[in-house]
Parts: sequence; structure tokens; C-alpha cells
Amino acid sequence: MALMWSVILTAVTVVCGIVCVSTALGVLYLYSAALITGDQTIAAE
Amino acid sequence: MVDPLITGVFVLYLVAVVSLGLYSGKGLDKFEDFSVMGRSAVAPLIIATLSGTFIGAGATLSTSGTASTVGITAIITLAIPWGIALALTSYFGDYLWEIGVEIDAHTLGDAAGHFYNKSTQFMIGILGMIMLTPVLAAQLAAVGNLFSTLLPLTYTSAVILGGVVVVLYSAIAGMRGVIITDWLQFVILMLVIPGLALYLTFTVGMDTVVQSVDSSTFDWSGGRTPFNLLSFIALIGLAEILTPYYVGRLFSSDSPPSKRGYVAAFSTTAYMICAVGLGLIGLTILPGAAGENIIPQMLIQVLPGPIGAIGIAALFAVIMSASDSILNAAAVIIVRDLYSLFGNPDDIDQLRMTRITTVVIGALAIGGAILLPSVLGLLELGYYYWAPTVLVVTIPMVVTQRRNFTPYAPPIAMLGTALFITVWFATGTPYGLNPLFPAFVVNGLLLVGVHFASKATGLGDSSEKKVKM
Repeated sequence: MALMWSVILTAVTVVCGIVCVSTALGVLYLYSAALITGDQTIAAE
Repeated sequence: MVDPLITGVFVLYLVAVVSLGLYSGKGLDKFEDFSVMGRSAVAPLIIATLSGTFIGAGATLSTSGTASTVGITAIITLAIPWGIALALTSYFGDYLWEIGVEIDAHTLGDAAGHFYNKSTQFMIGILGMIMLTPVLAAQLAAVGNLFSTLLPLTYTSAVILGGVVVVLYSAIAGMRGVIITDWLQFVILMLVIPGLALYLTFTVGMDTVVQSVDSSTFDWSGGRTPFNLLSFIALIGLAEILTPYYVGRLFSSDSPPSKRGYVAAFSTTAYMICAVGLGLIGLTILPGAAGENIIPQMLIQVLPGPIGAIGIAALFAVIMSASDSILNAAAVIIVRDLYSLFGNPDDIDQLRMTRITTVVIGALAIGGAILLPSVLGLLELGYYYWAPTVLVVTIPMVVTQRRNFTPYAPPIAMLGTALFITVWFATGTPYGLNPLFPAFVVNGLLLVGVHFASKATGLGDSSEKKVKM
């Protein structure tokens, strides 16, 4: 039982952590590219 | 114990946010730019601002605190219902966005004013204010509590500093400043808090957590009956749908916003689950610690100095990105749904009035958080006025994009429902039941009743106003 909970909690936290970090990096990249180039259409893609 | 490193990183962070906010306000001279960013916000900005607004002190500090006291049921009672609320808001977002473009709506009240009448718009404006005031005051109080714990500041000076910074860029750059600073704040908070959860999952290990906490921590239901659990989920899910601060963001999008909203809902839920994970890990590595201070304590005690300091800056980002959105929504509502109804102010006048209103509301909220902290608990009741009064009228209107009742029905039904909720609270919440569900029923009955009564007496206006005319 303890092993099951340990695996579930690890899996859920890792998946959620990766979702958050990748969303943050995606959002950072898309809009900073638009800011740097001044091209808003990049960020819309 | 105040760490000079934390103070230094905080000052840097504050300078970055204020500079970005002020820079984005350059050349802003139209009300539409101030209230809905000229309807030009691209995908990453909408994802960041929807999620950043949602993730306030509640989603971070309260979620981890709740998880540390009641266990993983916090995923069911907090993370999932909040995700559902944001997903539903996004679903309605496309319909609402289309109305916004067609009739130049800036608020939900604007749309209702178009389909119904000024009384309906006025009622929605007042109800919006009743909802926003407590949320803003609670966020500012959280700013005061957090800043005064971690920085060399008293509660009063912390509320003033945090409040003045938010008011400054909100008043100068409006929604443009709020959304662009939300982008920066979203990136910081989404990297740091989940990053901490990942780091501790691998260094501490969930097996250590499972072995050291009480077995009741893993009760999914938290001791609630299935009915109680479902009504709790519905309560949170419904209370947060189409609230004024999300509506402003949906209108700011440069194209239909629903898919962007779904990404925000998904990442917000993932973020809150990470906060639950942090609450559980905190129980293990900080014996005796529980409650809202668990994440700040972990950041200071567990992480190396500079990384911990960046984490603390992320907590400031969490609270400030929520406060600025609420402040902007409140100012725009006052000008569009209340001030503009009396007279016909031009664009420049509306822009000037919204800036002044931002400063006035900001000052009142700062004053309230300092002088009347005991009133905050009472004000929190205002949070429950929004959904049952406004959504019953506006969701059918938004989805069908036309008037569904005679113009007499919404103002009378909303006023009646607001009175019902007030009486419900005044009588000490009968049966310990939250007024949300009974108020939905009362509103529905009043709407249908007044609709048919006014039609039967020949008062009803049978002409239908559609969005495309």
C-alpha cells in the first residue's frame, strides 16, 4: 500500500511539474521572441 | 529572521515588474487599450494572464496549507474544481469574445446592457464590485502578511509598498501593463513552485513522505460523503465562472480564446497539484509545520540561499499578478457599468476616469487592509454574490447571443436573489448550507416568473436583440 502511494504521488507530481515547467518555457519563448523581433505574429502561432 | 539576499532579490524583482509594466504603457491613449489591451493579446499572453490571475495566494499558500492538514483530498476539493471553473470560463469565452468584438463590450455588464437594458448592466456592475472588493482586500492582506514575514517591513508598510506598486503600473498601463507583467510573473511562478516540487520529490522522495505521514493523509474523500464532496466541487467550480477578472482577459484576446484557456486551466490544475505535493513534503521535512507558511518556510530552510530567494520572489509574483487583475477589473467595471450609464463620456474621459478610479480603489483597498482587517472576514461573504445572481442571466445570453427574457426579468431577479443571499447570511446560513445552490434556484424562479408575468401583462418586449444586426 505504501509503495503504491509512493509511486502514485511521485508520478503525479513529476507529470504535473513537467506540464508546468514546459508551459512556462513555451510561454516565455513565444512572447520573448515576439518582443525581441517586434513581430507579434510569431507569438500568435 | 530577515535575509538580506531575499530583500535584494525582491527589490530586483520589483524593479523588473514595475519597469515592464511602465514600459508597456508607452503611447497608451485609448480606453480600449487600457481596458482590454486593444483586443490584441496573443496566445502566450492570454495563457499566462488567465493562469496568473487564477493562481493567487489561495491557489498556492492555502492549497499547500490545506494539503498539509487534510492530505491529498485537497486535489479533489481545490485543484480539480478550480481547473473546471477555468475550463468552463474558457468554454464560454469564445461566445463572449465574439460578442465583445461585435458590440465593443469591455465587461459582462456591457454585453448585458446591449441585450437587455441599463438596469441590468447597473446591477451586474454593483454585483461585480461586491465580489471584487473582498478578493482584492484578501490579496492585499496576504501581501502584508507575506512581505512582513520575509522582509524588513511591518504589516502596514508591506501593504502600502505592495499596494502602491500594483496601483502604479495598473493606473499607468491598464490591462496592457497587467497582462504583460502577468506574463513575467507567470513564468517565474510556474518555473519555481513546480520546480521545487520536482526537486524535493527526487531529493526527499515520496516513499519517505508516505512512511512519515498519517494514513488519513491518503483518504481521497477527506472524510466527506460523496454528496458533500460533489457539492463542494460544484460550489468552487460555479463561484469562479466568468468572474469579472477573467472576462476582461477573454475580451483582450486577439482571437477566440477558448483553446488558450484550456491550456491555462490544465497548467493551473497541474500547478495546484504541485502545491499539494509541496504541502505533503513539507509535513515530512519540516516537523511541526503546517498551514499557509509551509511553502515560504521550505523555500528559506531547504533551498540554497539564492534559489530560495528567487522562490520567495515567485511568491510575490503569485500575489501581485492576482491583485493587479482584480484592481483593473474593478476600475473598468466602475467606469463602464456604472459611470458611463449616467451621461455619455467620450473615450478620453473614460480613460481618465478609469485611471483615477484605479488609484482611488487601490487607496481604499490599502486603507481597508490596514485599518479594518477584522472586516475582511465579513467582506468574504461578498464572493458568493456573483455566480448565483449574474450567471443565471448571462450564461444563456452569452451562449445564445440574444436576449432570453423580457428586459424586466434580469434586474428584478438579480436584486431579489441578492436580497435572498443577504437574508440567508443574516439568519446565520440555515442548515449550515452555503447560499449558492438555493440562490441559483431562487434566481431561476424569479427570472421565469417575472418573464411570463411581464409578457402576460403586455409589458414584455417581444423584439429580440441579436449580436449581429
